[in-house]
Amino acid sequence: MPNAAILCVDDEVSILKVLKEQLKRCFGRQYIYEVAQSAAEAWVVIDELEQEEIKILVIVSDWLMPHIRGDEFLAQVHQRFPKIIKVMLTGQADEAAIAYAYQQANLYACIHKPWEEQELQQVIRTALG
Amino acid sequence: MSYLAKFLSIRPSRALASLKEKQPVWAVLVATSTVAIICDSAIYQLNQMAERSNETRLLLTQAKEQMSRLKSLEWESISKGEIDDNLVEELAENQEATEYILGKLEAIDRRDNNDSLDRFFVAYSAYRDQVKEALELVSQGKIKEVLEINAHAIDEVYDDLYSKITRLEDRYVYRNQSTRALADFGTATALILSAITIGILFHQFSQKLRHKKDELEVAFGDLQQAQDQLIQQEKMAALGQLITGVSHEINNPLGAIKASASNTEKALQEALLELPLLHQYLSPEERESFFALITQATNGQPLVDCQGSRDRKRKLVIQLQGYDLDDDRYIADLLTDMGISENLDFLSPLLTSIHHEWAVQLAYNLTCSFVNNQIILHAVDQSSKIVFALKNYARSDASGNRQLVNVNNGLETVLKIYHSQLKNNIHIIRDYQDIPDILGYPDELIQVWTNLIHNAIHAMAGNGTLTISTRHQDHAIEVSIADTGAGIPADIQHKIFDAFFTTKPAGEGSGLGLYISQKILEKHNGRMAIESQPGRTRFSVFLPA
Repeated sequence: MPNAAILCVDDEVSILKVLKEQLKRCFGRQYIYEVAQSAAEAWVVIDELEQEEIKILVIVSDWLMPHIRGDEFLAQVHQRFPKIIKVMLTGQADEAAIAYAYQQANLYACIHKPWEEQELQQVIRTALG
Repeated sequence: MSYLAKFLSIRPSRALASLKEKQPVWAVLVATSTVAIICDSAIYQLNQMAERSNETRLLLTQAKEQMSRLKSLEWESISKGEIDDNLVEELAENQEATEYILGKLEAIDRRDNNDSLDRFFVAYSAYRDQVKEALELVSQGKIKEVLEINAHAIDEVYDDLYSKITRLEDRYVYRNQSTRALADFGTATALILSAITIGILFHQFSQKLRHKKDELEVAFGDLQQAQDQLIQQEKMAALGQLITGVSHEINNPLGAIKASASNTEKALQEALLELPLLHQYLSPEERESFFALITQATNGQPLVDCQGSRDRKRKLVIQLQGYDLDDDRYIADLLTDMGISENLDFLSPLLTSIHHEWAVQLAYNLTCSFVNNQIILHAVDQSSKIVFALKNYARSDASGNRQLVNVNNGLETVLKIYHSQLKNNIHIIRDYQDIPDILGYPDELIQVWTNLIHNAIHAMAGNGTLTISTRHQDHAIEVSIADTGAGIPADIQHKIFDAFFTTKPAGEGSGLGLYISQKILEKHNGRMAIESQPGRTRFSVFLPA
């Protein structure tokens, strides 16, 4: 049973679906893959995983989402879990938001939609060392 | 004076040219006044001269008459041969009058230093001497001598004197006439000069006016150009804001399509490798369970929200615990992704097989193309909608003619383009009535809706309710766009339609949105009304139907 997880956050179910499949196909049963449609839902998942004593290694988050945007969400995550690797996956984000995420959330990388599967896998593989 | 001399010496065209070089009006006025004064005094002098000549001529005429009377008196006494008292008295009177006139003439002679007058006086004194001599001879009674010697001489001298005075008279008449003519010429010249000056001043003034008019026209043109540019900039800024949303709307489905396609390919590759093992790994009963799983997966609803998926997965995990699997969570995850619902009884044979994980993975790989296809179709739909909306947004009639516009469709186009921004917890209420199409400019009306909806979203800071309603009444349609934002303070409500008025931070809003919207509505013979209080702001647009 893996005790480490990768969490994907995007308001589009289809994006979450394909994202999860790509990660699963690349990393197989090494990790647990969780998805959430908003920052609020992501916090629920984070709490659940924490209760199950499953460590979140990476969060891949969209930028343009309801309520809280990706950069803000990742900055909040960084406050509580500085060790989680944060990646932004976005169809559109202004430069200021990306700069904010790098500064405030210690953003590891920003990947642009439509993304290359290899790029995504490469980023996460390197991040996980 | 030197200016005047210069001014008069140069040709009129040059004079005008020099005036064009911004000669101040006062210089022209001073020059003109100087010329006028000089002309006036010259004409006055000439008139005085003419008056004097006339006076002299009159004196000469009087002198001539006086002399001829005197002569006839004297001649009377000579011919009578005696001088009676009456005659003496008359002679003395006439003599006195003649002397008086001659005295005046002498004064003129002294003043004019006139040779002809001098000669006249010489001739007169010669005549006087002759007459005096004759009268003396008459008083001595030497009538015969007088008649013989002096009468002839007197006649000669008198004739000479008479012709002299007549010539003088003619000369003064001529002088008077020519001086008058000169004065008339001067007057005419002065008049012409004044006319020219007035013409120059008028020309200069009209030049200045024309220049000012040209300047104003240029400034007006510049202003119009600047306004057009600003309107264009405002359009581009609105478009720029939209691009944020649009690129998100396009890149998201593109990402989904790309990933789905590659996922399907990989899944099928894997499945094709494993498929030959099916008969080897699974018993007929297990295979039946396997195909049932595939059938259910292809009929399932894989695209449910995450919360639902997690709930389903949790229930599956509980069910799977009964099968004593070491990887129940992983299997539950696969089954959830395949859209399998709670009851797992049909999977019992498969789950008890030692190849259960291999079988579920194979079933997943075989069926995931269905899910991926659904994702692709959904994504294509999404991008088509946004492209359609964009096409509507940018549509403009090249002919510049009005066309029938469906306002409800226009509002929907804008809502579609703002979809990504409206996702941010903004609840949309569409309250559309069946309204008739109106004649207008579709792209410009869309600009109005875009502006009002954009402002509403901005006012609510991404949180609230946007109510869009359309109504048809009394040959007009009413479109109202209401938000639940902070509202517009009463003291600035009258300013919001002014150009360059904005409440947004510098650099964010051009302050032209509502101004341009109102101009567009005016073009459509429509108008806009606003009512606002904290928590409810409503812009109502009225357009003739």
